[in-house]
Amino acid sequence: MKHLHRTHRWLGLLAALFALEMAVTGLLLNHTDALRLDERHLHAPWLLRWYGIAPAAPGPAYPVAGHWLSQWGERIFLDRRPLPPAVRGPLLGAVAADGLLLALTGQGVALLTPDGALADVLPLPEGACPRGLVRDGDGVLLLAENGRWRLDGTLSHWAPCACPAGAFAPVPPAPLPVGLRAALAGATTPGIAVERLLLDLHSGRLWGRAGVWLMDAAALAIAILALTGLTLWWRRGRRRRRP
Amino acid sequence: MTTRHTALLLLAALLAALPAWGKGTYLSEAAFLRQAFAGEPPPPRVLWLAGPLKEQVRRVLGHPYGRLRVRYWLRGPRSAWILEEIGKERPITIGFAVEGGRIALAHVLVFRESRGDEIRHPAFTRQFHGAGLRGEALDRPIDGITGATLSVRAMRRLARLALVLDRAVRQAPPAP
Repeated sequence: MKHLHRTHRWLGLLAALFALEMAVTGLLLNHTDALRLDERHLHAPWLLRWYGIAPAAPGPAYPVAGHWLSQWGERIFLDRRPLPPAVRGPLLGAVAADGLLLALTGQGVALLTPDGALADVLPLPEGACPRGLVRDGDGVLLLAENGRWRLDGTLSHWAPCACPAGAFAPVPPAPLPVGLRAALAGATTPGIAVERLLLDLHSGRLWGRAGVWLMDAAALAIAILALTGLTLWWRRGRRRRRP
Repeated sequence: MTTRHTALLLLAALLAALPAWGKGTYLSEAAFLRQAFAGEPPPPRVLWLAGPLKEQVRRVLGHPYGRLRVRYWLRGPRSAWILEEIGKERPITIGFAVEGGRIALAHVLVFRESRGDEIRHPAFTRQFHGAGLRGEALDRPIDGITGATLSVRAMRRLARLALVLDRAVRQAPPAP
């Protein structure tokens, strides 16, 4: 009885801290949706380093009609605004036409309003290997490894162009202004969702494999604590009932 | 390593790859249009989603369409629409041909989700053939598929959208 009491007390002391941590993180995780924990992100440099997350690599950038289209990792930005996921890199060129900004990517040409709304994504001509876009008078030309195509006036379909191969060169990328580059470098670094951090704390994964074993041990300790507690309570009850 | 171990490893690798099987491009835009217009599609037209039409589209989808305009193809009584809607996380691209206010052809062109690609099978898409609108809803029930509920719902919404857009261009046909 004395031995069981001592075991119960020491286990309780050891497991208390872990039990508290598991209870708090578990309580918060139970209300992920209400607290929008999957939408809140942490960007502390030490935390990103701990998770091994590096900032997105800057890609090419194109000045167009007073705006900048730039690629960071797979994402494309119009000035400081990220474009919808339907518009992904590689960014191969950009021109302006009919009040819209045209961004050439590997998947097609995204038509954007100057405030970043996606008007349409125009598929590339079948089999075209795109190199860039260029303005030709009032029109827009797609320059590809295997031909040239002209965009019609409604910006809705391509027609093969018989223009000579060497007559046009795609608009080249340009260096982003320093201020915009610095702002995007900060904004494009992915954060850690609070939900993820809580899950990793709850399971011990934040500390690697050793952390998981430690939390397993803590869970076992809490289970044993419950059993020893019940046993002690039962025995004490029996002793009291004895005459 | 025994034969049994090798077989188990192969089975595990196969099961791990299963969720990605459904993804892919099943029909190109050009091939769908050739089917819809017996080999010779007309040039595309553009419909801007603005004003009351924008609101109607929002009602049909339950959210705004991801783009400000829709390209479509129109010849005589037939129109063709290539539309996108998110099933669970990624957009599904589906082509519809509409004739006389009823769906004449439905094809899943690109499926990007990891599950629910059963909607691309003709046994499912055939249910849409002949479907029209009653108000803004389909005038017939479309049977679901177990495990593909969200993809089925996305396709139902797009079918309604194609019919609504067809009706819109026929009421006020824009200049080609």
